Amino acid sequence: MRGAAALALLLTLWAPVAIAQVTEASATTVLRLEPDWRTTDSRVGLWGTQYVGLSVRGIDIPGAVEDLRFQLSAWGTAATITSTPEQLLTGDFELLFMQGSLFQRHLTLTVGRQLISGGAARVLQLDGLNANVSIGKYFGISGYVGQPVVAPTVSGQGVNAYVAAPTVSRGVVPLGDFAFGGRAYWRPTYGTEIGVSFLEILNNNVIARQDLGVDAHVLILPNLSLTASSILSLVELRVADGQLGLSWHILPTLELFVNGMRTEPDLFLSRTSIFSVFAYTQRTAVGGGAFWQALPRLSFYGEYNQLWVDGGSGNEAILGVTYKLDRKSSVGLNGHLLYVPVNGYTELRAWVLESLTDRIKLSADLQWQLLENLFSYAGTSIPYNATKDSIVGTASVSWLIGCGWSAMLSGSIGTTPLNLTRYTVTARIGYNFTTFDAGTPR
Amino acid sequence: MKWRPFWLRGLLVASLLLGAGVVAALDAADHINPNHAGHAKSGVECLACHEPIFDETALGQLSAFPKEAKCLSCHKKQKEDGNCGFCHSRPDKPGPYVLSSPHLKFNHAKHLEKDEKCEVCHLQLPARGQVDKPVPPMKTCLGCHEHAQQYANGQCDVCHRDLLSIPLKPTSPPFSHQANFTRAHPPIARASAASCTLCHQQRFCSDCHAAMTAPMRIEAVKPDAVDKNFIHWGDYLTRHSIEARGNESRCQTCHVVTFCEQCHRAAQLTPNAANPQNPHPSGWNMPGSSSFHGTAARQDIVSCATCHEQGAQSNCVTCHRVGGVGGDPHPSGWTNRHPSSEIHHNPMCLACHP
Repeated sequence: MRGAAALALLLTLWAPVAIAQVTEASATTVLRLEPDWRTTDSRVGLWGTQYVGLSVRGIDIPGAVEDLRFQLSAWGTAATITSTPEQLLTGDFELLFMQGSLFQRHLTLTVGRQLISGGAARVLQLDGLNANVSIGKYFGISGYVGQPVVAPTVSGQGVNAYVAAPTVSRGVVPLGDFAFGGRAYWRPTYGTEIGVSFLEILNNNVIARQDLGVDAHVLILPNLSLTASSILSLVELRVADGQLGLSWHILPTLELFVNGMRTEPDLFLSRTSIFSVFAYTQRTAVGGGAFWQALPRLSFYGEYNQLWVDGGSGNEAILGVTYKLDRKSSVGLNGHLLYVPVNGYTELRAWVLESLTDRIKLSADLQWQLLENLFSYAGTSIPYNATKDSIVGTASVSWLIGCGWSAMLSGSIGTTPLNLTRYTVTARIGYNFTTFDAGTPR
Repeated sequence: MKWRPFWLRGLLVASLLLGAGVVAALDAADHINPNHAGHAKSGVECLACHEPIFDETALGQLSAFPKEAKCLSCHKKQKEDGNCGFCHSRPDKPGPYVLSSPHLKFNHAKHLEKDEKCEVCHLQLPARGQVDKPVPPMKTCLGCHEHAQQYANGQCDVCHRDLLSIPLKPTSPPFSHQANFTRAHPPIARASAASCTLCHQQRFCSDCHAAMTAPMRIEAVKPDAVDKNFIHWGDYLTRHSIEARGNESRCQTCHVVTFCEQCHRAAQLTPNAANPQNPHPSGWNMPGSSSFHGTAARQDIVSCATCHEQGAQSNCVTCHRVGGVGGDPHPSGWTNRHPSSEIHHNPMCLACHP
């Protein structure tokens, strides 16, 4: 019975693949070995993660649906060290949705697990329905409804983990249990778009977030563009996030930009959190920078921001230099300085990407970081060094095997204030398969 | 038969996949290098080999590529001498020319009607040993007014069959990715998400933004992509609290505070940890102290939530509820925004105002 169900599922998945204009499938295996200092005895763990992806698009059902699409992105992990037995083998879907256009592409519907992007939603991972309606040539409205995605009831992988803890089981839903919203936009030309948006998230029928967004990207001149966005919390009547930027391509090889940003981080806490009643916090940043392609092989990037945060002011500077050795090889040096009232750091990172052959690449990077103040974890069991600096080096070799296969082996080692020593070994093998026009292998 | 643990089976499957990759690696495909530059240098006309190109209305039509017999009309001796490496990259395993699916829509016949000179577009030809295709750069196409106008209007699909599969990096306004676009993209994407979807599928975004479900950060999956401006490179763990203080709302684009709490709990830093330890400095509970928790909370309440977000009955309520020793915790101006009537219908208020 199980076998028949699996076969039926396989045939169901394969059917659209057979008639699609474009099909992309991928399978990537990542094996990683590293010590996890969060477990009190700093045990060494091995994590094996299998990613699978499938993107099918360009299926037309005459008289009904145009450009039917199906997208899947999922993973499964096996771990040797976990906090609870159920975390030994786990997995989840990042994306799983079907999308199709109706009425000569005036209506596009997306149903399933998806990312809602733009406006007040910023980026919202949602299990639900999203509809986009084009009105005339320049206007459109989109609307969505569903449940914000919560993390699976498992822990992630070491200090590199993303997946959150089983918060649901403790009765705390991270963001909310129901969300809806939408955005109306005017897009007169490519490059210019102005929108108004709304987002509401409920948690047990209580408003966790209710935001109104206004956004604009305007091409003022062919080489001058303005970007502005603002999110207003309707519950608090305060601006949660406001950004304004101006980008000027003074020459094809020289781009100047200025930007300003003001955020109130406490407004991104759920309104159902007890911490939403304790403080109004503010962050402001004003700055600018430049990108200069000095030579065909040599480019520079620099940015500076003056920061104002609660409790004082700070500075942030970013510098980057990239030199192309040849078409596929390059070296770079990046610098980042960030100083805020509580602490600060200076970071330098040098990297090299060298193509030994058309198929084999070597890459390496070395990062050095210096804290302004020592961390103080006296009285805790966190294994920290009484030092302000960290140094971490990584070297990788990647191999484009051919026929869609690729492989990579990477090792990283270093010492940091929060880890007496740190090392990671990563092996990755991937397979990518793409067809165009129903079955012509690339 | 006794089943082995789940993780062991998972590792077994992963090992098999790795093994399959190695096998595939040993079987890398042959490709043919026609040494275009060498032919041109020797004065061989393009049309000597590619005459059917005059009738090619779409890229990828097999007739535009010469058969082996055409090559042998000049290079017969190399084949007779067994010098297969003259053309084949894998002389030990020579195979036929593999025709890849074209990524562009292009009508050679129509273009040749206007000008028969191939070098108008094919400015540079690959030499022996270079596997580059003799494809002209995009700026050559944009040299014509018609295509420049299409580019300005965002009509990518006039030339590109599928930008989703072969995304290109824009270097000019309005969506130039030349500078640190990872850092600059949030406000642009907020206002132009539809334009982003011309080149990027959702799974491109989900690599970084699906933090609720992603098993590990992108830097851990792609440590070899050293030239990318990923956010969490290197020793991010050490600097994360400083980054958060600089711009907590940026963190919260992907991470809700319970994400932070999970890691802090594992490090025994939260009240609900198995063996909770106190990371706070001395004077934390002493009013008037330079490190008094009330001052710190007013300046950075989100950081408090990253360890103490266990619902309304967290340790703040114990002291700060009505009649508690902690006093009124609300910031100034609170009552202007929140009328007292809210107490009766907001469950969060009821935690302290029963």
